[in-house]
Amino acid sequence: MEKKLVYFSVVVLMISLMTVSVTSAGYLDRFITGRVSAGVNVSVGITGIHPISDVAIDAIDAQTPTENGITYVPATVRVTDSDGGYDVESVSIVFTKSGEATRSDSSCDFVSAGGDTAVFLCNVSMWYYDLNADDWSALATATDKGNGSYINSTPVEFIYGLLKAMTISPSSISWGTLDAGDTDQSAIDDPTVITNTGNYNDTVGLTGLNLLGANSIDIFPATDFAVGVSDPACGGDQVNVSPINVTDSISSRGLGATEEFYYCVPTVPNIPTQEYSTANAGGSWIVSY
Amino acid sequence: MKTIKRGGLLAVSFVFAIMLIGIVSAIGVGYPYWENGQVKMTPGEKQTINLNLQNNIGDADVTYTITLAKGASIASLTKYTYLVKAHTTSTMVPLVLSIPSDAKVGDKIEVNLDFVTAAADAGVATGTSVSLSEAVSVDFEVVVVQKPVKFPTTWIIVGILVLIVLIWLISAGRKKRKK
Repeated sequence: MEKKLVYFSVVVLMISLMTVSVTSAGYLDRFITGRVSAGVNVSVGITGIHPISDVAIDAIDAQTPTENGITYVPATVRVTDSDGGYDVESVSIVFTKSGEATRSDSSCDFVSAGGDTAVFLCNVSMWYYDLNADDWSALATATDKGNGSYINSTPVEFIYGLLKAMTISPSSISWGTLDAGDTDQSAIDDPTVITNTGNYNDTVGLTGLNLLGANSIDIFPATDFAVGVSDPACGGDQVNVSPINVTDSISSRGLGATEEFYYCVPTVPNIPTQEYSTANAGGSWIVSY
Repeated sequence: MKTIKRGGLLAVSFVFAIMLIGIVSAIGVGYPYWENGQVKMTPGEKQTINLNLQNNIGDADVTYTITLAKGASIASLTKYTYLVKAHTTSTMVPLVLSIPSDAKVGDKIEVNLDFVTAAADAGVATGTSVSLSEAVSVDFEVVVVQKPVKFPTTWIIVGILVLIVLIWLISAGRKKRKK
């Protein structure tokens, strides 16, 4: 009976020791107050020591410029690091073409990481006047988080298409009243300002149309007009109903690049007095690339 | 009375002047890059080239009219008029190119398309006046080239196997001679 009691006491004592937390506090610790936090989040950043082993750009689709605007060219970059995809600090990309301004994205967006590869998405702004070519070159650079080293990708080439685009203003020109036999009569409201809103870079053409009288019978021939890129244009190119390339005209590329057309009637023909216009003829003169 | 008349005349002149200024009109046609302006195709081949109409300037919708001036023997369009909404850049014109199967290698066919936008409202002009509109021409040349000769993969494998067997036979023969 006595033995049983001893065993029972030992078991109770052991259970008590196991359930009571082992804590201690001295006399001076009697003012300890507060609540115990149930959990603590701990984050530890671990960076690898190995450098990035590979940077690769996915094929970039052929791009078309945006009229008077920007085309955002996406490029996917895959970075391999044996320390894991999260060991990539940053990725940047540059587009180059000989003789052209460099286009770039200095901070590509992190998309995902899996295994030893990280994927980044770059967006490069290309302008409407950037050169049309099949060999724009993309080069990506990735920086390692662990050791700060960086490596470049193999360049990838892509096509930037051609955009023939323009605005013209004003969209009409006039001479007011002309008298038969008058010479060197310049248009009142020229020049026609032709703004290149694409990346075409060549001469500018003009196709004329005979002006028709209000009576719908008499004509003021297009060949009685002259066009040029400077004022006065009386010695310029003869307008024709078939297209002509206007001498010395050029559709330069660039922000706000313009060309100007001036017009003149070198000698007013002897035709019946009335209003003549292309509107009467149901058409217009056409400025063309 | 005279003053009122003069004021009215000035106002009318001002309105006419504004109308005469004319409206900015625009055109934009994008297309792919072709080296030397040439598209290479083989006899019997058919492909579609997408030409891109844009209207990114101004707030008015624009109607494009297309004329296939050259190359109708191999090129075709399903539509010749497109309404392009303002502030859009994604209207595509599919141009189908079909080379006859009996076309000769080396043949060159010129293709030319003219894109014209409807003349903007030029306002009111008195006397001699000319309306202006704009056009874009897309030109390229289709060159008929030979079909690339495809060597069947199975024949490549058979060839490699035959080569291996030959090398083995030669080396086995040499060993026998040495013995």
